[in-house]
Amino acid sequence: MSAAPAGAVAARPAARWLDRVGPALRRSWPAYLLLLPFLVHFVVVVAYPFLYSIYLSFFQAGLNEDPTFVGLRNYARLVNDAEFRLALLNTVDYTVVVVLAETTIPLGLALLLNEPLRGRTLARIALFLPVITSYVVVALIWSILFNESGVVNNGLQATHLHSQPFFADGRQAMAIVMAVGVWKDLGYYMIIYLAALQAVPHDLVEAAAIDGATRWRSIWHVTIPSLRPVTYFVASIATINAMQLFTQSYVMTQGGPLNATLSVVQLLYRDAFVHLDFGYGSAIGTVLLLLLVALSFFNKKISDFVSR
Amino acid sequence: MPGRFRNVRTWLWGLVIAAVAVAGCGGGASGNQAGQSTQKVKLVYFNARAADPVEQALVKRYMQDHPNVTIEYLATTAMPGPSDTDAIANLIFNIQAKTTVDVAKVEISRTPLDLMAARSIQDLAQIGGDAVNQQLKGLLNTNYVSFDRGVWALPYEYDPFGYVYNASLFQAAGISSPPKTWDDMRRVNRTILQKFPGTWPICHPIQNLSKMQPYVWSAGGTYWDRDLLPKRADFQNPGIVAAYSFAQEWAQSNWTNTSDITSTNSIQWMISRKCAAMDYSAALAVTLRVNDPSQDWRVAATPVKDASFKATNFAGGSALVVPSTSKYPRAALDFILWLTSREGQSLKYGVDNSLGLAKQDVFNEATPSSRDVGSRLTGNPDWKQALATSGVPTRPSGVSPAYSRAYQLLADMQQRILLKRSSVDQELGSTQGAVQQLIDDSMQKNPELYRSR
Repeated sequence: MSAAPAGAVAARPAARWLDRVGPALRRSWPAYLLLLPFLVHFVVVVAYPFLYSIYLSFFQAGLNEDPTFVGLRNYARLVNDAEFRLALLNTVDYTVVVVLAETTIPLGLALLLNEPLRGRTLARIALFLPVITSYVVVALIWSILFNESGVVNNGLQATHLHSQPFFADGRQAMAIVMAVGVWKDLGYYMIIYLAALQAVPHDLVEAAAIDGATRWRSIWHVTIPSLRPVTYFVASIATINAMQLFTQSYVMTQGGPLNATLSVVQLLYRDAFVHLDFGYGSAIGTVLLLLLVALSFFNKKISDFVSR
Repeated sequence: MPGRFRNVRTWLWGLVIAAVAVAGCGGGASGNQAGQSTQKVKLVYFNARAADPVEQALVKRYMQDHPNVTIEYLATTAMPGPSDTDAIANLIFNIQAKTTVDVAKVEISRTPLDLMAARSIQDLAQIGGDAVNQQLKGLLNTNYVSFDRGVWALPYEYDPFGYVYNASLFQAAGISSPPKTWDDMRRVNRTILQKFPGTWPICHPIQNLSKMQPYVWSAGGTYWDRDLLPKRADFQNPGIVAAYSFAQEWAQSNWTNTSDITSTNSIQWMISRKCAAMDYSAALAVTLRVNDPSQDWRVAATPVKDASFKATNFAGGSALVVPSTSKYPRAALDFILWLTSREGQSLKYGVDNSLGLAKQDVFNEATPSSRDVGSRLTGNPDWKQALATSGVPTRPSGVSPAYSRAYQLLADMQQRILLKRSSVDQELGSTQGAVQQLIDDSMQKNPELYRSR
């Protein structure tokens, strides 16, 4: 019995794979062709940089230098980095407040604007406008409103009140950064809730009314429970967005005062692209990714538990 | 005979091949230059500072005068806040991705050295030889660009700082001249605050180290053992302690702002009379004059500790580099030499107004790096204030590959001293330790760079 050539052995599994996949490819090639632009974009712009960033986090890598493998050293540095801890704390603070606000306020607005009120179309448009406005523009407008000689302080002084150091006081600065985030995304989540409200079964609401439930009790016991899957979706998306806080704190406060509004993504940007420490920046990005995965998983578990 | 003929033919072919080879090699650099100056080239010019119409007009003129050169102009988006950082990050992305960039306009005080240490720019002296050294002699801020036995950039815009003040407001408060010493400044600050309680007598960019340095230097202090590639951080000498204590005195006396100054609010705060004076780029006076001609906007040198000290200024600005990803380094250098020449600078700063540029656009360009063009503008009333501190000696500050991280630590320290009123001695001591660690790491990582100093 002669030994089969190595190439032939290696080719066998590939041939088997082609036998299996080939007919499917032949059958559905137009679908794959239509998917191709997305797949190419996904691989080049999302998947490859994502995997490369994880790979880079185990290296010391600067501009125009060959990366040097350092194992877990970048992650060990993260543990002892006071700036990273502060940025993480700021980001978590921001996320908690913003996610709570973005899951409740848009729901209230959606319930209100679902009623046949006069001018509700105008109100819907007004609330949705910030969503389609650039984040940088929104942040600039808010910083003009709240800076030390801005519109708000001038208004306070005109009414004989003390002007406020909005961007000099860490807590006030963070509150403004949070307010911008909530105001900007309000309309987006409101539209999602509004769409979901159209799917709430009318017969349930009518049955509740026939049973003598007030409007408020009907909303509390029928409408809101029906919106649970959407609320979970909104909370998840809002959490992912909030954890990636960057634009408004970068444009309005540059992370200050005294790093009070410094976020994890801003720190990542600073380390990778200002200090040219791509390895450490990638480690920050990887930790953020793990946190987001953990938070999404946690969200899902809570949602499943509540739905039971 | 045929054998002899064959021999002659072989020799003739040999001669032809040798002649072609010599012509092709062309005797090194000069032949290469000649080749590149006649062939059609497409340069990519990356403006890693604020986008502006002046640059585009200059590019257009250069292309008209050099029909064999096409220039693709790429500008970064100007954002308030750390726009230089954005722009440099953008350039770095391109270099890292090996994208062709032939000429880049970058911030001068730390970027050329940062890029050079990362082997991302080319030595202009290697490309252009004596022409580069000759050009350098007529330019300002050259100490930022010549190091490690090379010339890594040519200064393009000169941006000296100063004490920018509203002379009309000063006059209304009964102050006839700007402060020259710190005691003068205390008196001025008290008078202004008394006369105009809603106005800060001195506004200072809290996180900007460069605006603090003139105070330190003008009190005989220093940050480093040497200005370029320092080996030792020295943050506890009497001059630096005095300067930071003086700045803290402003905060304690409510003489200064509490939130930071950006390129947007610097103009807004001055025009709204929120600030009577500001430690800022001297060119701000020109912008203020355009925006509010009702006031007399002026610039003076940063006050010195007392009359025994001499004013020393910081001057930033921009420089032109040839990135490592340049396809046509020689043609790129020719363009840079033109931009920094008397002709290019005269066009840029409106001495020769044949580009038809708007005044506002020209005023956004800091001041000329060309000594010659700068001296031509000194008598011009439009430029007088922007150039008011251009005669004050300047020095670079601790430029090294560790600089951007050290800058961050010092800026954070400054913020704590001004906003949290933390102990100046303790802050300087602890920051010195952290910065020294960065310098030690940098020396270990770039031994060849430090060995040449």
